[in-house]
Amino acid sequence: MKFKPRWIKVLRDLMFNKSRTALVVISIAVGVTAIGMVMGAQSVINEDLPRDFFAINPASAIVFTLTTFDDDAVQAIRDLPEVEEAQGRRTIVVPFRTPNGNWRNMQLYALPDFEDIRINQLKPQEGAWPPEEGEILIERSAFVPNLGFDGIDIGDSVTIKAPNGKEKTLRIVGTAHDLNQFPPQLAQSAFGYISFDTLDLLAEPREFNQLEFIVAENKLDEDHVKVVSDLVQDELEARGVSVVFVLAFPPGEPPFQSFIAGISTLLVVMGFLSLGLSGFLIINTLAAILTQQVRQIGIMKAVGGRTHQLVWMYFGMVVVFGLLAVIIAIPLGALGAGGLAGILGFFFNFDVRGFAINPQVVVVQVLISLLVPLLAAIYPIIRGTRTTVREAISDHSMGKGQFGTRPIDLFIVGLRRVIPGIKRPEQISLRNTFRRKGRLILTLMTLSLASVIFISILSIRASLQQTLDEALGYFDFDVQIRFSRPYRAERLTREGLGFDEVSEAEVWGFGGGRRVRPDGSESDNIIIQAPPADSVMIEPVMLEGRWIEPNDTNAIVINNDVLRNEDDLTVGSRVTLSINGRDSDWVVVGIARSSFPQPAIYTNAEYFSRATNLVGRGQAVLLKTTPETDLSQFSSIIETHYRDRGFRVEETQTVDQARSILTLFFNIPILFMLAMAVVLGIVGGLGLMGTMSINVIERLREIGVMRAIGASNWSVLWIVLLEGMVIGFLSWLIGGVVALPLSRVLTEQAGQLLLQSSPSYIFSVPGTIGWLVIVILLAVVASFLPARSASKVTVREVLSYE
Amino acid sequence: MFRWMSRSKNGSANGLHVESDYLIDLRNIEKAYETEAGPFLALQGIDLQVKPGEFVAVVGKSGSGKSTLINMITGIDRPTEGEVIVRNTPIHTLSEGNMAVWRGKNMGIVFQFFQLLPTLTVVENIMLPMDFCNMYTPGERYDRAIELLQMVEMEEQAHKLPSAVSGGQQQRAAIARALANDPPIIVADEPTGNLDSYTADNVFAMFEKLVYEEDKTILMVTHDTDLANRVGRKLTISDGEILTDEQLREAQPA
Repeated sequence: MKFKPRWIKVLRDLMFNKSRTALVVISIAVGVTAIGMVMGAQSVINEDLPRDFFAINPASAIVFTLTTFDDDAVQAIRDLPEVEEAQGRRTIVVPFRTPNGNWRNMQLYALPDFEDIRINQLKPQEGAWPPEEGEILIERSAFVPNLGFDGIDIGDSVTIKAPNGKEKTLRIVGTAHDLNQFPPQLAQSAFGYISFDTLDLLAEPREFNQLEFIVAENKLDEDHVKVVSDLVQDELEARGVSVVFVLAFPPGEPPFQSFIAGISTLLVVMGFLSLGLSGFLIINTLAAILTQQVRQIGIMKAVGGRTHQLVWMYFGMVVVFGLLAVIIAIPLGALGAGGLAGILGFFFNFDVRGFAINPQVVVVQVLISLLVPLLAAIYPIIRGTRTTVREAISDHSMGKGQFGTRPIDLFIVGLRRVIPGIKRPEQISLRNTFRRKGRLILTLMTLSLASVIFISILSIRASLQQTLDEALGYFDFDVQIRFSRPYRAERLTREGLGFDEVSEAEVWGFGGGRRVRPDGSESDNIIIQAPPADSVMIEPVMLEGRWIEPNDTNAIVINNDVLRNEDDLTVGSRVTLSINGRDSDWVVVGIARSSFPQPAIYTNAEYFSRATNLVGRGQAVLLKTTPETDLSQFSSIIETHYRDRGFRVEETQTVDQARSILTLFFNIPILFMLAMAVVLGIVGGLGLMGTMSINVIERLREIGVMRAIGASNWSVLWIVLLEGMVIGFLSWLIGGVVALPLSRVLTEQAGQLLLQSSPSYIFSVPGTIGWLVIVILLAVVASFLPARSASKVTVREVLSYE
Repeated sequence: MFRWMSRSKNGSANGLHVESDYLIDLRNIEKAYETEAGPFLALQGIDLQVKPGEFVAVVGKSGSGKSTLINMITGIDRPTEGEVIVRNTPIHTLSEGNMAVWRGKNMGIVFQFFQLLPTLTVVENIMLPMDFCNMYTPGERYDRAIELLQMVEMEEQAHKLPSAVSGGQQQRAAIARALANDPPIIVADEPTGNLDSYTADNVFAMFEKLVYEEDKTILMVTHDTDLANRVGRKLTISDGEILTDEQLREAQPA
């Protein structure tokens, strides 16, 4: 097939200007790849995750109890007409010895029959199934070095400390996949699965402390699940089982679905931002191409070319750019999607199918690759091809760009009076920056947006960190040890204070309750914490009213998360709470700011122990240590100490551990957003590179003249580099100014998404300064090639440049 | 000798037709440009008639208005006052798009700096006007371009890019391109201005052949007084006016 000369010209222009073609193609490909990556990952997640999740027959809700229950209770729940299926599990936290001799905690789940798991099914992965007596299965994503399994393999044995303090050896016989668990990487805890026979070995009763059930009807109706949950809870409490709380995730969604959806939404926004930015880049580059081709456009018109013919030629060129970009973007996007889904799959412990080209995503990518550049090209092409022959062939002027007439120009010129010692080459750089104002605006839009995003993301991160520090500062203790049943408070404190490292110890009451509303309905379960009234381990931030006092009886302080569902409560409200199946009356004396995003009620430990028939006893001991204490080591020592003395330790957590878990929780979305900000930065850098190349090409005559009057290589190089840096600086300035209010809004959104509450806000000054350094470096890198080509211009070349 | 390649064409565009006894008829042309210092009169009171087969040289100092005058005839620029009628078409009334087509079919333009498109080979450059104006069948275009290159003795360079041939060769290729659609009128703006005297002489000889053997009408802006004196008619422009209009030879009969 023979092409017409005009199309040959289009193809040759593309081929002869390889770097320019590459720049435009990369610009388009970056945005289209980002879209392909995000959409591809989304489609993987939307297909693979629900498929895997429904395959485990997920529970409608899980009831966590303080006291244990037996098969009869499970059967009673199963017999409720509203319940389709129910099953019990027993969970205990035990320390296990890592190969380097340290003790780390592992959550053990004991199941009565591995061949008949009806709800939240485990999937065998490697090794044997089911585990026999003395054997253990490890959750597959917990079976990693950073959770204590470095150097341990299937077939090896692991030593655990049973709740009675005795060491027992269990053989790891395989791995299992437990999709219903919060990802071990995020929980920072390993999960193990044992049979009820092994429970005997650990001297634990063959009883349950978790009940999972599936509602019989309206499985996806959250309100219905809640109603049935209340019935189940009532039934258990009627059987004397003390319920701590009921966990019901949005029906049909894995525990971390909203988190993934949040990340996914952020990524989609970022993907489209990248695409929008590459649109600006295309406008800029095409405008430049057309500027370069003005004379050729004139000649083509002189030999009979009509405007619409030229318009089609350049649109054809844009289509080729789009097609080349999509060739790159489809595999890269699919690869990125596989990688992104893989990362999410790794963090959230679900299987992804990996690299796959999704036809729907490809269609979107092709459409975007063609449409966005065509849309972006309309203005520059129409404008460029309207050049008349006379304008084109009479263009013997110096570099283009109006400068000197507008107020901004006069301001720039005036800068020489306020910047001492600014030399003429620097003045040229400054003034050159403002010559092509339209191009400058487009370049600044791209780079400034990258600045806004980067600074905002770091501000979000700093704000979340600050919120976390405040939340952890709320509790002024170092180690918290929770027990699976109440012990005498005096004994718990005495054991703790026996260590030199412990400076103070307090025993807190702990439980769960539901508000019985005036209309008889009940709220969700609310955690009740009962510190001593004179506690030195909590520093509440009071929003209204007062904190609990030593003489308080039925006084409670609620946190503001309680108000989310119980918004009629104020200071002075009388409240009925159902605790362990018994209703009691309380008075709200204060509203405190939430530390963690969950509803909590605080009350006087002494009164709470009376109300729950646990006078003088408590279920959690909080310890404050001396400053020089190594907390990670000490927490292990003290936990062992309690266990050795027969205390049934359920969980030990240090403030540092809480901080690292929560920080990791924040950092995952932050890291994704930062990665996208880097992509935006790259797009911005490409834009700047394009702009600087165009500027150099347009000003070749000027550069030749400067060379003719004595400008050295370095002078020319510096003039161009400095212009790039000025643009970089301006983008930082604009980005910073825009990020000031925007980062506040985004922080609020991120807080609502990740914490379900308003976080504290701080503007990240280090992040802003860091971005200045990055953007200046980016500007130097982006301007270097154009600057170098400018510095190589010879007077002879310029004189013959036609 | 290339008469077999010629195609008869209707010179009018979009049905516009003005009777004129001349091939080119400029009536009372005035051209003013707005400058920061006020209006600048580039051409004034220009009345110029050119018959078919004439070889006209336009001479004058820099800034005298030579190029502006040529631009009026090619439709590259438009008069502020007056009429430009070429082949009975009032080209000053044509839209930019219609002008491009009309020009492509009726006029070949040769520039001082050759202005071949750098990414097209010599032969492709010559085929481009045929492509734009949809002249000749696609199969004929290549043959015609090669014939034209043979005429300007450039067939050996047909498949080279412009950057690979000399300035004189580029100008010859540009002349071949100007002839691509077999226009009756060739307008050349200082076609020898960028060539050495030997090459310039060759190019000029080619123009003479086009006028005297191919019945083309040529208007040529030149600074070269020797060449200007070898044409049939010499117009001297000064300060936007035709200072002298000398008939040096009889025009060839159409």
